[in-house]
Amino acid sequence: MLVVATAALLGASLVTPVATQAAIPSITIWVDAPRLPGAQLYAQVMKGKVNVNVQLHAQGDLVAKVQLFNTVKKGWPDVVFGPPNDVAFLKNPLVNDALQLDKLQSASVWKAFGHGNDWCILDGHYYCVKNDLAQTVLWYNKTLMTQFGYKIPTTMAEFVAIGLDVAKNHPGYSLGSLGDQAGYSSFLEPSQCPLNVAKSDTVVVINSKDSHCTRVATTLQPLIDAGVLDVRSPFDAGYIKDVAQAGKWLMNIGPSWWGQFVLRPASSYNIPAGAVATAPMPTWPGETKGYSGEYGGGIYTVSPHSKYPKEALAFAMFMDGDARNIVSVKNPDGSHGAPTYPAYGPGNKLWVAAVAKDPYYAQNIVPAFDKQAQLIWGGTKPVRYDANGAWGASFATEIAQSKNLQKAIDAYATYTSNAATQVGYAVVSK
Amino acid sequence: MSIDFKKKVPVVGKEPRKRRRKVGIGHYAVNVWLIFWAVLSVIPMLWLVLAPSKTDREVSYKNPLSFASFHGFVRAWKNLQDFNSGVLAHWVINSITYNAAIVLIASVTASLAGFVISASRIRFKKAFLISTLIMMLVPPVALVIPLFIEMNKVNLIDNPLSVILISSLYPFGAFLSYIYYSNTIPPEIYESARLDGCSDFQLYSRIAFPLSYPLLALLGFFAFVGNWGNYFMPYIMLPSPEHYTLPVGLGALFFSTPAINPGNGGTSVPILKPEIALAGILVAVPVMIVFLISQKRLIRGMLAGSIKE
Amino acid sequence: MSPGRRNKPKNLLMILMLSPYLLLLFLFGVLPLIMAIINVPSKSPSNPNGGWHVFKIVLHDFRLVPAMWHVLGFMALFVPLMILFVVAMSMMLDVNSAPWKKWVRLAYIVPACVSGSVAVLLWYVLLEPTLSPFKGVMHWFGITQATQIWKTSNLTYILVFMAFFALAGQWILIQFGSLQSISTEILEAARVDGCSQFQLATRIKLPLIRKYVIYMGVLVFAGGLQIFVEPQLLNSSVYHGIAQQWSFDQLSYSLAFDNGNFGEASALSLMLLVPSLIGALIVIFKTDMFEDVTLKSSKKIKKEALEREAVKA
Repeated sequence: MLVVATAALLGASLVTPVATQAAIPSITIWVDAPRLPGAQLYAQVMKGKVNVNVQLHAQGDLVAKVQLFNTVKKGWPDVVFGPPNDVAFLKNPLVNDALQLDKLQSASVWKAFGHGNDWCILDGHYYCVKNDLAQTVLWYNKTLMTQFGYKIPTTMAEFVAIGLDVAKNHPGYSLGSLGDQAGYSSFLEPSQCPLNVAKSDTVVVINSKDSHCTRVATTLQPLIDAGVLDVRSPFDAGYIKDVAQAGKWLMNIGPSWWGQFVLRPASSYNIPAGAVATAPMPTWPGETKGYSGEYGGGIYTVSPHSKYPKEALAFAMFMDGDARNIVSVKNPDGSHGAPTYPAYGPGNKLWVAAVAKDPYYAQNIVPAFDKQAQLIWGGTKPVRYDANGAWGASFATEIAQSKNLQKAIDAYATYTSNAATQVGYAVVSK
Repeated sequence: MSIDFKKKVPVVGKEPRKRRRKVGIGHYAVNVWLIFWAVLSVIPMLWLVLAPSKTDREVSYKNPLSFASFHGFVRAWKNLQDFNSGVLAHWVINSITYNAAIVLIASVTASLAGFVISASRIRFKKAFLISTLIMMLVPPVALVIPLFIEMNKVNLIDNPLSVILISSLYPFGAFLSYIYYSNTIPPEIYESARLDGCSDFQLYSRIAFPLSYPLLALLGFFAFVGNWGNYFMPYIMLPSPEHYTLPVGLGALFFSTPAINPGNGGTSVPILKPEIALAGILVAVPVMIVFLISQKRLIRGMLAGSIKE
Repeated sequence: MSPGRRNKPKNLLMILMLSPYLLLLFLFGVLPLIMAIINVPSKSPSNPNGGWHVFKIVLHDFRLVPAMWHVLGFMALFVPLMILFVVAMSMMLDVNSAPWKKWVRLAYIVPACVSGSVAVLLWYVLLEPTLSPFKGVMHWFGITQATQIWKTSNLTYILVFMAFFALAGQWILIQFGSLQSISTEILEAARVDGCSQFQLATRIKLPLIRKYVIYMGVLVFAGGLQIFVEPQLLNSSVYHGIAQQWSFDQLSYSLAFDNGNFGEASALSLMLLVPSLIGALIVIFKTDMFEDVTLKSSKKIKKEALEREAVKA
């Protein structure tokens, strides 16, 4: 015990006592590397008003550590940036680290989100603030589309028709790939396939035999068989090399960050300037609206253990809606502003102004973003199991092996049904 | 052939062996195999060393083992170094100080323990060895939560001492020391020394310690290798970034880059494959340096042993 | 003076030298282990009323049986491969002591120098047929697509490969060190008697370093059973999710940190400890691991070896 006793004494002297000035609220913020400049700027802005302690943490760190904090009943950060699914886990009464936010700011602010913060509504209340939207749109290579004489598809039937024509007349060209979560956000989710539809904290709909799922399989299977829809991951080095960098990328359905971070970088798809354009989502047969899926899009959660929840929420709103972060903050790579489409309406108005003028794109990519931002399919809800990792664990390997889309969807459903049951969900088919 | 114990203390090192009488093809084959395996082991590191000379695009395009330009290293280093106003240096310093303390405490306590168990006639020897063995076999996941609670009780969460103390428990080293001492020093030696009036401490300082250099080099080396790359314990015990070690800091930085996690979406942090590779070298080089140092010690220790003979 | 009275105060010194380690062992080994055992029946989401039937709950986890097959398959390859390879390599290194071998030994530990997030990238690149420095070899074997490598049915081989590369070098070092501690006289004597290098290795050296080999065997066995780092690395790479809860330890980790079921996690960990421990204890008690008279037994071996040689001659 001697060692520990001395260690404790040493420890006490080594740790600088936390400043406990009652006058100034103090909050601890966890953000990942891309959000760090904005958070540091906020700390500066708030100097003298709020003590802001900014900490660099990997996304998802809180989920890994919150159980430890709960065990010793301290250590919770006030506000945290994390991956979208974390809110279900944090809100769970057994974990209890996501505060209900409704009353912390005025209803008009919530209203300004439009549908942008729908993801964070659980049981009719706000439990997080969406940082950015990753709504899918149709990304296409305008140069090639014109050259081949194709019209931009507005329905899935047209999408398939183009695909089959490409296979016949322009073999080698690609309409994208679906071998990971992309398969979900680009096709299954827009088709309203119920694979992660949480009805409540304890009931989830997972049904790969639902007609909204099977129609995806029957519609896309010919494209897979024809090789125009790749079964590899869109990030697969082989796909990038054989297709994207070989100039064979014709179009694909992808999230709003696709242009800047996948299509554009020289080390990624490397699509030349002046070619990339966006269009709204093609509609599935019998639908009037072309829904989007979502691939990514981080959230902020506030801890119920925070002494200053209002100040904590204010940070999230600064990141989401303040021009100083959205437009001006200087990033490590020399660029300015937030990297992705802000979820907050007034915020994204500021953001899109800069993107709309970006000469890299063949035309203004923003209208499709704005349209789809209000059309993200609301069926997918946060769940307490790793619904995203499950795409790699089940769907991706199955489709790589059998190249059979329905089989791969079934594999995902089986895997997540097990995972959901394990954490206490009742899995239902409707 | 009679075996005289005093002379027959298995020498720690060995005198230079006599010239080989016949050098057959077998020897060449063995040497070729040894070198082949060495080359195979080094190629991944070679890739890490060469990757920062390229841009992220060139990493995908150029020959994996080609060299592009020195400027690449400068650029990758600048990107790493500029991140969060040079926090990288801070992580390096943390890693070095924690590890120095761990290696010291772990090696000393383990070697002393190994010596005592091999030299003394303490009763609970077997119980001791079995409990040490159990500690080596327990999955670390089982202990993390109790350790966290324990450290919280003494207010050491977020204090580097927590990691230093926990990591200083070195059952692997204690066991290794026990085998080492019991293999190199026969009990008869202690017996006769005791008869000559040596105290137990003198048994250590005069007999065991002079023979311990290779052991200490081995212990120090493995303690260092085991802890330098350790992610789990500092990750759990030290949540504040100012206490991050190099592996934890790099983890927080890298796991959000598209080079490792493309599905995470956009980033404006210029940390891609070349930068990660450069950081990898940064982590690996100290291990190799420590190896070379301890290897030298090891040989010197062996010579010292044989001269005494 | 009776030996008993002489020894008493001296034992005190011995205990004093032992105590720092003992203290660490108690505080950071025994005590948390006891706490872990006590925590097993505590209340958790999947065990709302608490109780020891948590073991049963863990055994019914749908991920347990797949994890078991994964780990057993892994160990069937990994454990024998490690032991045979490491012993053979260290014997080869010990054949003669050329100065260049120092660099060879350094080369062997190089793979162990890369860890954590860097290892994620490195293994991703190594296994990716378009990026890998070994892509020539891969293409020669007809592997040109990542999907040929990155599939769940290949994980066992990939993980054996990863763990083997990361760990073999360190064990070669240890076994080489143990070979170095063999007396030259014995080796010379055997050589004079006309022992070939191969006979020297299998009949003289191997019995003499038996203890170290057993020690390694136990730890490699336990390490294999508890494989965690390698699948976790694969799982956090570009192909996120591919090795999710692949091994026992990953499952245990997930139970603790994803599900907050600390009791279940401890229960699984303790179940894992049992086979390692039984294996270790059997091996150790069946051998002379704990015998004081180390030298006597090694003397016996040496004598036998020499006698055998004499008979041959």
